[in-house]
Amino acid sequence: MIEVEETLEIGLEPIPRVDGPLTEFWRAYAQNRGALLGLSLAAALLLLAIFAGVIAPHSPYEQFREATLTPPAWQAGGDPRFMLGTDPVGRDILSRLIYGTRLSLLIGLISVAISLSLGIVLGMIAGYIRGWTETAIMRLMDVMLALPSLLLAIAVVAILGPGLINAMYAIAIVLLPHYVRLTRAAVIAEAGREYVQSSRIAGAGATRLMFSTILPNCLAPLIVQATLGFSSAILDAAALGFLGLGAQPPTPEWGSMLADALEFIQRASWVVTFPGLAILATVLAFNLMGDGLRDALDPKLKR
Amino acid sequence: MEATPLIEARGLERHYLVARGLLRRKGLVRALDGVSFSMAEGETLAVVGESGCGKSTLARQVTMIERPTAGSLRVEGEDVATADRQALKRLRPRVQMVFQNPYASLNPRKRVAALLEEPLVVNADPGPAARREAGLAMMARVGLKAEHYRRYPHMFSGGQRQRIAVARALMLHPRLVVADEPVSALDVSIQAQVLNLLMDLQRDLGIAYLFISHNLQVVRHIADRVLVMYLGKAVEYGPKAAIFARPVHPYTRALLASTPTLDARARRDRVALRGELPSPLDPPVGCAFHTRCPYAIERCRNEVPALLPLGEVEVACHRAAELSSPG
Amino acid sequence: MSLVEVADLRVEFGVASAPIVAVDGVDLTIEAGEVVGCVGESGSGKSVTALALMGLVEFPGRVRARRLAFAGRDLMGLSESEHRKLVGKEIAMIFQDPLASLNPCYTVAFQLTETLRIHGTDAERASAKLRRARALELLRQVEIPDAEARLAAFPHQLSGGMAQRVMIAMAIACNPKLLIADEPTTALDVTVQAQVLALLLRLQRERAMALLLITHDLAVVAETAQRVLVMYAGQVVETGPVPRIFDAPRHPYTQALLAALPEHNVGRTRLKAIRGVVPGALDRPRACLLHPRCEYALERCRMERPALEGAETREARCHFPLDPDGRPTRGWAPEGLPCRANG
Repeated sequence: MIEVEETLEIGLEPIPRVDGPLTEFWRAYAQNRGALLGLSLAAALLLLAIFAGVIAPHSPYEQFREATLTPPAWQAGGDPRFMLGTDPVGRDILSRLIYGTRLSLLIGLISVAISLSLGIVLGMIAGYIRGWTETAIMRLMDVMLALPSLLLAIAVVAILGPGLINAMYAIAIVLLPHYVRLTRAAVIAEAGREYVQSSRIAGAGATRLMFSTILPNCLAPLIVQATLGFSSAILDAAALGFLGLGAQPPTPEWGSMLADALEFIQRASWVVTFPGLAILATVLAFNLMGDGLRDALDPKLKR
Repeated sequence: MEATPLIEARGLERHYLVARGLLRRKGLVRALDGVSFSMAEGETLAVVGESGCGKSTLARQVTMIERPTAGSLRVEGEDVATADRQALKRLRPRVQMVFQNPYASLNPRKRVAALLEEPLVVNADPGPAARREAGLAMMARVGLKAEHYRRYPHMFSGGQRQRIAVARALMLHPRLVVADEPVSALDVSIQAQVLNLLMDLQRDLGIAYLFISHNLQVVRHIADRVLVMYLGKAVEYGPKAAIFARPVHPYTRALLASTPTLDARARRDRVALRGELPSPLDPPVGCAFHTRCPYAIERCRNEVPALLPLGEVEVACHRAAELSSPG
Repeated sequence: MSLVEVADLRVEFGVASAPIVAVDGVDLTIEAGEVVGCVGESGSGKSVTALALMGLVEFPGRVRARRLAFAGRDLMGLSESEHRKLVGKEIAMIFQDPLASLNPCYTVAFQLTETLRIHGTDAERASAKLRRARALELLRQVEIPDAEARLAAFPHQLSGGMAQRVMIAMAIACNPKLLIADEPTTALDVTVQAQVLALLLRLQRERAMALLLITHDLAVVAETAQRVLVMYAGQVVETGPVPRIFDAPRHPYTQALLAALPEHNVGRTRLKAIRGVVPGALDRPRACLLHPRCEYALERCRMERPALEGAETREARCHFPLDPDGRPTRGWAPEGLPCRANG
């Protein structure tokens, strides 16, 4: 007859060999070709931005008076010194694009960072405290969402004055309601879960519950939205630059490059095409990344 | 000389206002409608009942997540219904909880280490080294290996997660652990392991359990006394042996009769329960159970029965004396 | 000819080189009008077996069987549409969570009549009035009070017990020959569970319908089924009639499961728990799947996989099946002592 097993021995069963959350996430993410493409493209852009000083053949501000509006090197009349041609005042477009990467990524990063942090705090408070606080915050966000984003950005810049920094603030404000709504929805869904009650019973206070217990579980949709917000920010910055409200000349920002080049669309199309392509490539990269992240992080798709 | 009971509830009530639409008046749900019971140190009180009976609400009152709307609830002699925030903070470590769903009750983003140490961090933090030591000791006590201390919950099976939940509940050395269906979501063989663990811990640490369960077989094994609830009220309350051997209240009888058993000889005649559970927004007048009771009389439709002693147990039924006499 | 004949059913998931075997060589026969119970814990493969029978195992699952026949017709050889016609009408299935199985966007009436619209008789397919009348009749048959009002209700307005009755009504709408119930009462309160089980048995008797009841609850099976299959880690380990299989189990796993129930530990402080856990999909032992947890395991159990053998209705997958007193036979001796031949 067998002996009664000690509880201790029964519990010492092997733990299934499951990967940590990071490994698991990477495996899910890497299955999506588009996502990997987006990631590599974004990485390439980051490298360009960091090493712009080394990679770019010329300074973005240097004007070659004798070589204004030179076509790209492979066309007739091109010059191998200026691979993608020059703009109306003789600046190398390739170098300007490369330095412009810095600006675009910076704009995306800072706008999203400001917007995300503020949005998380507001959304957290709205979703956790509920009641009048929630109503006040959410109605304010509704008002902001009711205005067309570009108009709102223009309005903010008009108040603060044109310039790259102010453009970043404006974009952050435009992106804010999305993060607030997302966070609030996620918090409401999570706040009733048992692990939150468990922490409450253990004695955790409101701040700890909000930011240490609940927030890490709301991050998935926020990460996806932040990545997509990145591309949104770049487009908005380009639009503001195009309107002359963002980066001021001679800053090599892609949007303002487009603005300067409009009149040359017929006879020197390369001045318009390449900045446009740069914007396209960047936005595409981050959108692909965002899609890939959503698929990888979506619990419903997890097998 | 009787010691102060660990928990003493008298006429405990908890109401919720429920919105019923823009133009309608708010509905009132009496989730707990006058429940009284007491618990001594080291004993197990099982709370039995079906959905809507108020057992989860009771758990929330006892663990002090919510304040009762009326009545008194004394934890170690102090009334939590009227206690201030300081008092609640002091009392909280004395009552902890283990939940039903091992997959939802552990924060998926925290390692076991953080989960076990959190209760200590929040209450008089003894410092990282002491916390780690306490956490590892507790892991060993519930039968888990120390090398898994830095793992995430999803790496464990259901039974192991429930052990982690139990360990977490014990970190503050509570005198009472409220266990809300702790083994319902587990396989039979794992149920047995976890139940054994709970009983061993009770024996070693002298903790009391408020054990909420709908599984009467498990209740029969682990409980000392049983509280049967229906629509927010206690209908029968007493020692386990009496309740299982000679149930008086028709609802208790129906519950016992409906529980499937392997032993054909032990099966009781089905007391056919008519109808469905009434809506808590619109409970029946008089005895809440009369709409489904096979023994209902005129008096049951008009008068709410009080919980009165009858031999070893307390029963809330107008016909209790009749029903309990043999023949 | 049995109603359901399944021989050597095997269901795998994952990559072909390292498959996750959910069902590993299961044989199953169900006669017309019989109530068969299938018990097992999580990972035993009981639900997947039922899904395979219904043809609901989706890609990338792979279903293989030596024979998979219903009412004499080979299910594996049927085309998609033939399969759908057969399975929708002759075999019905109800699941554990009725509120998850009913479409929240449509009323009860719509969902009931939908089945009739596709699988009903010609008259029913043609006339909406006839379908509605039939739907009303079905709700009354499953003992739903105030059936007229319930027809217009949405699933979220129904309680768990009501919703499960609606599911049953949908399932019996086309008079199936076989009803598969996968944990039909696990999510319900115990009094409602008793009502729903009584309903299932009544319907089964009245319509001479076969019922395959899948559950982890041994007591439920003991009260409802005529014959039981016990499954463990994808295999059938014991079959037998109720109540004999529970009074005198032949397989150590059945014996251990019964011994772990609180019912069989009255008076003892500790329950007789089974050591270890069900093997995961990827670390199944070769040879007997139970041997790491079995108190009677010997060398042979670690080397050789036992076959399911025994009399027609009392099979057990064990080298040393238990006798009516619960002791292993066939010359079993505790480890360390020599095996006696034909002891």
